[in-house]
This record gives sequence, structure tokens and C-alpha cells, in this order.
Amino acid sequence: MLNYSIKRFVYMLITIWVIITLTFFLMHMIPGDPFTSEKKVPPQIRQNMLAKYHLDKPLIVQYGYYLDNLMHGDLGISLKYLNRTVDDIIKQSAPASFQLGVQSIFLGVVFGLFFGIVAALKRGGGWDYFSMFLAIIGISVPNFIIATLLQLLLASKLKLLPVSGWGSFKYTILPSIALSFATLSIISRMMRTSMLDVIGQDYIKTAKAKGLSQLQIIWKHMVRNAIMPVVTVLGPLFAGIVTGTFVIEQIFSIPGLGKFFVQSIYDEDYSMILGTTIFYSIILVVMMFVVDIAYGLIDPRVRLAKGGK
Amino acid sequence: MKGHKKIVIIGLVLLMALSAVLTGCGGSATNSASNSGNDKQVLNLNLVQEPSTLDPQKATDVVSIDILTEVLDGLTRYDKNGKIEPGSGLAKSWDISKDGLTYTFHLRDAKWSDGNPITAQDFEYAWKRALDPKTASQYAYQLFYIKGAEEYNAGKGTADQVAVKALDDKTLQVTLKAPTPQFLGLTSFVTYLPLEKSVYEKYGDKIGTDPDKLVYSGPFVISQWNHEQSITLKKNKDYWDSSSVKLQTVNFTMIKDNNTLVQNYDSGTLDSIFVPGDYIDKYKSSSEYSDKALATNWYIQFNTKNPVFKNADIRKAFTLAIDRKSFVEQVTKDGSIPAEAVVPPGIPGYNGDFRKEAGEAYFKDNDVLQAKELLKKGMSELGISKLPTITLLGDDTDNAKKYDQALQQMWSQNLGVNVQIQNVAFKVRIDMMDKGNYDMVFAGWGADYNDPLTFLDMWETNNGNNTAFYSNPQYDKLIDEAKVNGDLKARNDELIQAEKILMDDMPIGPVYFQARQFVVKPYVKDLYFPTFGSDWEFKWAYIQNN
Repeated sequence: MLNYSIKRFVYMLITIWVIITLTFFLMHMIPGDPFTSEKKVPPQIRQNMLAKYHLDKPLIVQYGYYLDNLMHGDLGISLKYLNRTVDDIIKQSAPASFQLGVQSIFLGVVFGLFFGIVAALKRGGGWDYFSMFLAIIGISVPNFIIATLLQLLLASKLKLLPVSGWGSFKYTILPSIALSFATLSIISRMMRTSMLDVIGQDYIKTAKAKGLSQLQIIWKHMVRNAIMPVVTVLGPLFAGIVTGTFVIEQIFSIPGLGKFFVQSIYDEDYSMILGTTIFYSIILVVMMFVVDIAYGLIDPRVRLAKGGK
Repeated sequence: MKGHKKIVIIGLVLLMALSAVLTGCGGSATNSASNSGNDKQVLNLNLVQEPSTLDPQKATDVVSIDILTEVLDGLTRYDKNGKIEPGSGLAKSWDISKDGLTYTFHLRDAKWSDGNPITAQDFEYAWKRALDPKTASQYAYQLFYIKGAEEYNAGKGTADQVAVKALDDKTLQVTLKAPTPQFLGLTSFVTYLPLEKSVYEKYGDKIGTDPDKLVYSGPFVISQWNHEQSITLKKNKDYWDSSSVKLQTVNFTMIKDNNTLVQNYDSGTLDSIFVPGDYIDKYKSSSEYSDKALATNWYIQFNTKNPVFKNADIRKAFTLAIDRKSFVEQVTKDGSIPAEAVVPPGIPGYNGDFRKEAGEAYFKDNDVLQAKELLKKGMSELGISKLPTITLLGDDTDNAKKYDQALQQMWSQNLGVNVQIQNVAFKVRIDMMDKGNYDMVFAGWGADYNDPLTFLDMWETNNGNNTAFYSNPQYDKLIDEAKVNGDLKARNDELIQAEKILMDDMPIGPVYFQARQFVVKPYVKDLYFPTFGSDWEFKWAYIQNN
């Protein structure tokens, strides 16, 4: 297990390095630079600005500077929010995105599993159709429409919750619900399919024959076997959501990280583009690692197979 | 309406005078709020986004300028009527030498929010800091009117050679390279704002990143700043003119989504918003709605190096074939004004509005017949019978796409020319313009200062902003003369002549002067919307009968 972990860790570092390198050279291929503006400045001023941020050096030297700073845990200064470091911006913005992401994943997973399981058990019944209806809405209606509808109904008309903003728990309710729909849909459909596979298996008949209670059969034999595919998608899904979502954060005016992923590219804010990319990659590879460990915990066969190698 | 406002103001002034007498002139600051009855003096506005930086010497974007102009006073400050008057800022008076080159400012007694006196040295220090090559300030060139400034910034001179000097604690002397009529206005601009030396030395490049890392000399101080979320301003008790300031608190949100913005206004969370284009119809008939022309023009810029658009007649044909009236009425629908000239209305000339002095129009709007003839003439001059594919470059925002398509349709209908559209991200568009990788582009320009020159000097040969690559020696001569002409009447005539030449050659085809639309709740009084610079001026604003 330890060997395996070390190996995985090294792979993770290599993956992140490849991502950094690709991003670094790709973003420099976008026409223009962080200081491109419609109001031209005298060449000397431009030179001063480029020099201050080492942008006057050859690309490969800049790359060297960047990696060197990164080794020391320094993501650099934002080229749009002058005087603020990328570390600070991520540290200040990530918590809001994280809270929102975790809450919406929680809602999505709990209700997704519930609807998936019930739909499979009551296949062809009212619950099945209801869960299918929910899933179709969740997948085909973009979350910004759900968000706007929630805002209009619960905040503007009924005045139960604030329209937008961030601060206390009540501000998080609408965005969490709006964001959870997609997760809910994916998980409920996946869980239903996977449950139907399991229901037809011989060991379920055996369990029934043994006289186990319905609940025990569902929990110990069906869900535990059916949940593997769900766990697989949950890793990347989690990484994607907790690092911030552009649209929902914009609609509810949430001070999260989501906008930086999009805006930094428009601004050609090089250090911010790299900072967000690295942050996301780290969360993503860590989540994949966590998923691998979770496999072992849920299914002892996986543990055995890996141990045997 | 105006008369009513006047009565209110006079009443307030009388009340303030009375309260000053009663309290012995000292504590009028807190009393002024009670003049407006029991209303809570809180104003809620939307800043749209996070300021890039509150380092005055580095700020360039409008959001940063919005905050900085309310928390820092410069030597001068635009008053309620948009005028610079002695005593409207930290300089209580000034002397200008006969040759118009040397300005001597006399500072009033005023304090920073940390209690220290504001001195002439604070200005000298801030201006030299902006020019220091190591500061790498983008707007350093705003100070290049000062003798020795450009040399210092280029590393060819020293800080001591910059002709700005604190003669004593309260006297600042500045010598310019050439007479600059807009200089007094410039001293209210962010790059010229003062900075307390000891504070900068304490925080270095971290200055202005949090409320406690800046000291204030303006009507308000920043009391709270939640990045990407909100900024709260409180009244500055140490402000020299605090008796004019009635608001106790100004809350800024940073809402970007248009629908969310409108809902926040409707629910009363925000007291005033700029109305997004799609919502203008919703508010247009409301008494809370107004629109106002901005000092910004939008035009079709032709690449004069292009094989087709090197011909002036073809450029004119494309300009005349635009139906501006329909464009602003049916496409922008926002109160914008059709433009048949370069300098927007509202920019001062010699003795009034430059636009009135120079004439409203240089050509007829939607002159299809003339346009067709010019196109034919131009094509025969070039010796071609068919135009090659022409592409219009534009931004990739929803509005820009809509505008580009409307123009495309007008050219197709009126000239029979098929124009392709290419929409790209803003910085990519600018980069393509700089490199001349375009046929024609829909572009705009906002005033840097309150003078026609800000719209005209950019079209000089080899000016960095002249991405039409236009060149006319006669035009260059007029602009160069106007830049240094101390005779303001003659200067104005030169600028009018220059604009006429520009419209004869037509490297740009004016389309419209931009307006902006806003709604203000009826209980908000004396909230001003300047034509350029910051979005609001709320130094004098107050809340009544909410």
C-alpha cells in the first residue's frame, strides 16, 4: 500500500508538471499580453511594466522563473489585480466556492442516490417516472435557468431568501440547490442502471432465499455493489464543483473562485491562469487518488487485486 | 424640479450655518446628517466588480477610480457643476505664471485620516513615485506634461530633475513643458492623488490592498473590504469639507449578472443602478429613469493600409451608408446620439460646447445616393470592378455582435456590399488592430480628460493609438500647434480645423456618441453622474423621505 501510494504521488507530480508546462506555453500563444489595452502607453512605460514582471525575458527564461517560484510555493502576483498575489486571491476566494460545492454535492448525492435506488426498486412505477422527470430537467435545463427561476420565485416574489450575496447560511441555500440539480440527475440515473444490474444477480436471490430482510438486502448487497460507478464519477465531479462554478457564482454574486478560471483568460493574467489551473489540477488528482482508496474500502476484491501485484 | 433642488440646498446651507454657529463651528460634521430628518444616511450602489488596485499611482480602471476619487482628494476636485474651482480640492488657490508654464498651488489645512497634516511633500512624493520606472505605473504618462517627468520615467533623468517641488509644507510648485489648459483638471485624476510617504514606506507594494493599508484625504474612508464581494465606505470625520458630506455609509456590492442586478434594485437592496440594455424598456417610462451622454464615441475605423480602404472615397461611402438614426433607435435603444463628427457633445471648446462651436455634422446621415456614387468613384480610382471580401472586426460580447450585424445589414442594403463579421475577445481585437490585421473595426474611445484633444491627438501620424495608420502632415501640424498654443481662442480654431480635415479624409466613420442609462430611487438626492472619469459623484448625496 505504501509503495503504491508513493508511486501514485510521483505520477501526480508528473501530471501536474505536464499540465503547468502545457498551460504556460499555450497561454502565451494567445494574441496580446496582460498589458494590452486600447489606450496605448509610451513604449518606455510598457517596457517598465514588462520588466517589473519579467515579461521582457525570453519565454523559456520566464518558464524557469515560474517553476523556481513555484518550488518555493509562490504563485506570483496577479497581473490584473496589481499588488495582490495569486496565493491571496485563491485563499480568499476558494472557501466560498468550497462551501457551496460541498453543500450542493451533498444535496445531489443524497437525493440522487435516493431517487436512483427507489426508481430501480419500483421500476416502471410512479417513482421511476418521477425520478426520470427530475433527471431530464436537471440535465437538459441549464443551471442558470434553474437559478434564475429560484431567485425570482423564492427571493423576489416570496421574499423568503436573499436574491444574491454571501455571508450567512441563508445566502447559500438557493445557489446550492441550483447547483445540485446536475449532480442529482447524473447520480440518480447512474445509480438506477447500476442497481438494475445488481438486482438481477444470483446472489440477490440467494440473499432472499436466506431470509434476509428487504432493507438488509438493499443496503448490504444491492447498494454496496451498485455504488462503484457512482464513486468513480464522484471524484472528478467533486473536483469540478468545489473549485467554483462561473455561472452560478456570477448569478448569485458569490465571491468564489469560479470567475477567475474564465476571466483570467480574457484578462491574459498569466499568473492567475496558471494559479487556477494548478489549484484545479491538484484537487483533481487528489480526488482521483481518494477514489482509488475508496474502491478498496468499499470492495475488498480491489484491495486484494492491487495487493497481489 | 431644479428649482426645488435649489431650495433644498439653500435650506440645508442655512441649517448648516445655523448649526455651526450653535455648536461653535466645531462639531458640524455629525449634525449635518440630522438635517435630512430621520432618514438613515446610507447609500447602496453596485460596483460591478473588484477594483484592480487602490494604489492611486497604479490604478487605471473605472472601478478603482470610482473608489479612489471618493476616498482621496487631489489638488482639485470637480464640483457639483462639473467645474474646477479654486478651493474645490486640497488646493485653496493657485497662481499660474504669465507663460502658462508654472503653477504654484497653495494648500489648505487638511488632515489625513491618521491625523497627520497633508503637505505639499505628499504630492511631490506621490507624483515622483508614479514616475519612478520601478513603480512601473501604466498611467505615468498622465504626468508627462511636467518638465523632466518623461526623462525620469525613461531612465534618462533623475527624480530631482522633475519640476515638481514642495517650496514649504503648504506650497507646491510645478513647471510644465508647454502650456496645458487641461492641467488643472488633470490634478484631480487618480495618478495625481497624494500619498503619505510614511504609509507607503510601511506597506510598499501592498499599499491599497486592504482598508488599513491606505490613508484617506477624501470625503469617505474605506471601513470594510470583502474581496470580490463588497466594499463599505464611511464618512471621513477628518475630511476638510466634512460638513458638506451627509451620507454616513455607502455600501457597494459587486454584482455582475444583469438579472440579479435588476432584481436587487426592484427589491430595494440597491438605490441606483445602471440599466442593462435588455432592461431599458422595463424602466424607460418610469420617473426614476434617466439617460445621459457620455464622453465616448464609437466609430468604424478603417485600416488605411488596406488595399481597398486606402481609398478615401470608399471609406466615405461606407460611412455615409450607415443609418445612424435607426441604429440608435432600433439597435442600441439606449439614448445614444447619432454621431456625424468626432468629438462628443459636452466637451468644452473655447467659450462653450466644442460641438456647437465646430458645428454638429460634417456629413449627412444615411446618404445612400452619395454613398453609392462615392463607392463607384473609389472603385474606378482603384481600377477594380469588384470589391474583395471585406471583414468587420468586433468584440465578442452580445451587444457588439448585435451592433455588427446591424451594420452588416445596412451595408448590404444600401451599398450592395457583403461584409463578413469577425468577433473576438477584447484583448485579441486590440492586438489585431495594433498589428494592422484587419480591414475595418468597430471601435470606441472614452475621454481621458475634458478637452477635444483627447479625441483628436490620437490620429497624429505614428501615435500609438492611431491603429488606422492614418497620416496627414497638415493634420499633424495643427495638432502639434494646438498642444502648445497658449492663445486658447487660436488653439480652439486649430482643433476645429483639425477635426474638419479628419472628417474629409475619414480614417474613421463616426457612428454614435454613447449614452448611459440609470435609475435612481426617488429618495436619493444630489447623486451626480459625471460624463467621464468615475461613475458617480456622491460627496453631496443624501437620503430624504425614505
